[in-house]
This record gives sequence, structure tokens and C-alpha cells, in this order.
Amino acid sequence: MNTALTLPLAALPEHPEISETISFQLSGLVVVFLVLGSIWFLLEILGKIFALRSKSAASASKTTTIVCPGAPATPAAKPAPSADDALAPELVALIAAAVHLTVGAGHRIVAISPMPHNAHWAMEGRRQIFASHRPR
Amino acid sequence: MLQNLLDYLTTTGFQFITWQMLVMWGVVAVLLWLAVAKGFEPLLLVPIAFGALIANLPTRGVITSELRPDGVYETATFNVEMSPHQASPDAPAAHTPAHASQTYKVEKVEGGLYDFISQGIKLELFPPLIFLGVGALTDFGPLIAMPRTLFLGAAAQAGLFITFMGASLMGFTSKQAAAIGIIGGADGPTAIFLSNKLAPELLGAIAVAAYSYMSLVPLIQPPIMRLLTTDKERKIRMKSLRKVSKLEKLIFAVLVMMVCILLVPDASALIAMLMLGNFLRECGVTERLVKSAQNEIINVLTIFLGTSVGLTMRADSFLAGGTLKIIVLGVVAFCVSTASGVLVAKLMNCFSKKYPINPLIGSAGVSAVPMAARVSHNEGQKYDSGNYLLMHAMGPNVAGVIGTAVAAGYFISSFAN
Repeated sequence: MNTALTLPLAALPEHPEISETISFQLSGLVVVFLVLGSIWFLLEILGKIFALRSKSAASASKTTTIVCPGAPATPAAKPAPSADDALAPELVALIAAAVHLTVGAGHRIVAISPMPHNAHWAMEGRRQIFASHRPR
Repeated sequence: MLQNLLDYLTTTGFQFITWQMLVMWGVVAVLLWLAVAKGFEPLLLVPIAFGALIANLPTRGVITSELRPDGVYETATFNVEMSPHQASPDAPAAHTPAHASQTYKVEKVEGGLYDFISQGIKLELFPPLIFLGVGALTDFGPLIAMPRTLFLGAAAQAGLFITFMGASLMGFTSKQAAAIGIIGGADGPTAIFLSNKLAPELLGAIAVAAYSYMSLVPLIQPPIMRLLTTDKERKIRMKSLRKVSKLEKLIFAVLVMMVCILLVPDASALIAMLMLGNFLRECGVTERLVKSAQNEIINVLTIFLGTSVGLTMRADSFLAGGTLKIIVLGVVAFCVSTASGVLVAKLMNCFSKKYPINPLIGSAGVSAVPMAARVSHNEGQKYDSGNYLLMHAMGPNVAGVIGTAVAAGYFISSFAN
């Protein structure tokens, strides 16, 4: 659809007075803030909706912290791992081998759990630190 | 034989060389030096410089130009020879109503290669198509994760409006002042789009100023950022951004396009293509189209756009007093935009103590993507090497692209109709 509009507030002569220019400038800034502010408002609503969705999805899923077989007893407050949560022995062996290669002997794996989703910067920092050393 | 050689010499281009052309060759040399030796926006400055060189050589069959009554050389004008279309002599004479249009047959069209390519600017095709590529290259995730940075993108548009007043006071007309002010948005395609619409006679100077200053962002912005922030503010660590889902990104593209077009219809061409490119990128089922938009389309158009802009830089119109004023006003626009972004970030911190914003990301509201965001990140790292501001700064950076397009739409709706 074609629209041909002229803003009555902003109609300016070729060489406007200073007061007209200031009024024009302020109107322009208001328009820019109004448009981007509207998008901000809508994005906040959108974010809330998606946060509610992910919260309800998270509550439906189970806790995924996994305790290794042979690790020290977990505190009583923590729920005991169910049979479904147990990691495959091959995976535990693989992680143990990777840890041994990286940090050497004298370690003990206490727990294996997935990383929290909002720790990307920390993960990137860790990745860079590890990448800067050659493991022996 | 000697006479033949002398006759031939009269057909060469040497006799058409003027001192203004020589000056422009110097300008071209500076642009090429900046692009090739210094690496300042080479993708655009090289085609612009080459176009400027072509425009200031006595070429034939490349581009036509004519002197308008206002003293400005208008390039890429076609000479079309037409004759009234003859109906078949056997056809019955039909009654022709008074409002019927007359049909002509085009006998001959005179125009060179660049007359055709330059239509991409004249008909406002290139800037929106480049925005398609920009949209396909841009990740709006940081902005969706932290939408309050939209205000920083809006604040950085203050430079446009302040420069508008400066240009008005320096004697430019309202339309020219608006076209000059948009340099502060640091968005080349938008600057070209607007200046072609409002002040085509200044297109070359505005484009060169916009792209030159965009390439100088790492030199222009840091002193202003340091001047307006304290050590403590520069070390502010911002909260990690949340993960944004694919659906959110798709809704964002459609939502922003609709809101912008509804509120500022004159920004439609730019915003619609920007968001189309972004939707193609995020939907995940149009891989071939995204690759084309991100590579072939934007690269080919960049060559055509740059050369066409350079071709408008004829000595007659470029070596005017107005060009120097535009260069000065351009840097003012940039500085004010940078400062206003930083100051609004500080102001927002007064209201949001729990999740403060590092004011260094405010300067990224000028939409030189992603250079302005990288400058914010590098400045932050100078004071705290463990502070990663890049993704946070991308929020205001891409908001600045939207903000500049909206501001351009406001100017167009005020002056172009």
C-alpha cells in the first residue's frame, strides 16, 4: 500500500529560524525514541513470554546432576541419582581420561554435571586459558 | 603524415584536462592511499576512488553529465530519441479521448556503462539491497537478549539532529542539512539513500565523509569515551546475556519491520530489506539465499555502489566550498553521536543499579557495524582484560542501524514529499 504523508509538525522552510530548527530536532529525536522504545517494550514482553515458557519446560524436566559411581557420599539434602541419570561407564572413563591428560595424576572426580546455560563468557574465558597452555 | 598526427592529437583527451581535474587526481590518490596502505574501509574506498578518477578524466561513452540551471552537474542522464508510434494504416481511426496517453517509439538511447549502473543509486535500488546483505550478516541476538540497549542506539542519533542545526546555521538548505546530518549515523547505505533523495548534488561529498569517518571510528571514538567515563565505570562487568531462541529471532525480524513501517513508512525500503535478510538468516531453511545475500549480492552491489558514488565526484561539484563544510560537520556529527550514546548509558545506570551498563558500549550506538562494537570491547579490555564487552556492545550497535534508518525515514517524511 502506498502512503504519501508529510509530518505537519516537521514541515520546515528551506532556511528555518533557530526556534523552528530546535523544534524539528526535538520532534525527530522523539520519533526515534518512540520507535525504538516501542520495540524495547515489545521485546520485553516477548522475553517474558519466552522466559515463562522455558521455566515451565525446565520444571517439567528432571535434575541432571550426575554423581559418579565410587564418589564420596553426597550430602543428604541432595536427591540421590536415579538409575536413568547414571552416565554410561564408557563416558565416565572418557571424561576421566581427558581430566587425567589435562591435569595429570593426583585428582579425584567428584561429580560430573552439565554446565549452566548462562555461563558462556566464563566458558569462553576457560577455553582461552586452556588453549594458551600445552597440556603435558 | 605530420598533419594526420596533429589531427589525431586533437581527438585525444589531453586538451580537456583542467586544473580542477588535477586536484581531484590528488584527492583520488589520498583515498587510495587510505584504503590500500592504511586499510581504512578498502572495500568501499577503492571503488569510490576509482569512480572519482573516471569522473575526472575526459572519458567518452562511460557516463554522460549535464549542467543543471543551478550550476550542478547531474550525472547518468540518458538522451532518449523518440518518435510518435505510428498505428497501422489499415486500422480504423479510433476516437482518442483527451486523457489518453500518447505512445512513443524509442529510436535511440544514448548512455554509457555507468549511466546504467548509476541508476542503482538514482532509483534507490542499491542501498536497500545492501541492507538485505547487512540483515543476512547481522545477529540481533544480543539486542533481543538486552533490549534496553535500543535506547543507546536511539541516543546516538542525537548527533544527526545537532548536526542538522549546525548545517542549517552554516547556510545549507533544510534538505541539504538533513542529508549532511545523517553522516552522524555512521551508516553508509542510509547516508547515500537519504542524500540521493534530498540533496543529490552533495551525494559524493557526503558518501566520502561518511565512509571516511566510519573507517576512522577507532581513532575518533576512544578519546571521547575516555573523557566522559571514569575508571570505575569502564570496569563495569555486565551480566551474561541470556540465550535467545530461534523463534524469538524470527518474531523479532517480523515485529521490528512492522513497527518501523507502521510508525515511519518512509523507512520502509531500508527496514523491510534489512529484516528480510535477517529472517532468511535465522529461519534456517534458506541457506542458499542467505549465502547469496551475505556474499555475492552484497559484494557485487558494493562495487557498483562505490563506483557510482565516485562517479558523482566531478571536480565541478566536489571542489566547492560546501565540501569542506560537510567534512567538518561530519566529524561533529560523529563526535556528538558517540558522546550522546555514552552519556545516555550513564543516565540509564542511575535508574538501573542492579544491572548496570558499562558506558563504553554507549558509543557503539553509532551504527558502524561491527567496528564501533569492537572499539567498545577493546577500550574495556584496556582497563580490565577479563571484561568481554563485545557481545554487549553489539546490542546498541545493531540498534543504531535501526535508529539511523528511522531517523532517515523521519527526514524523508519531512522533506521529500
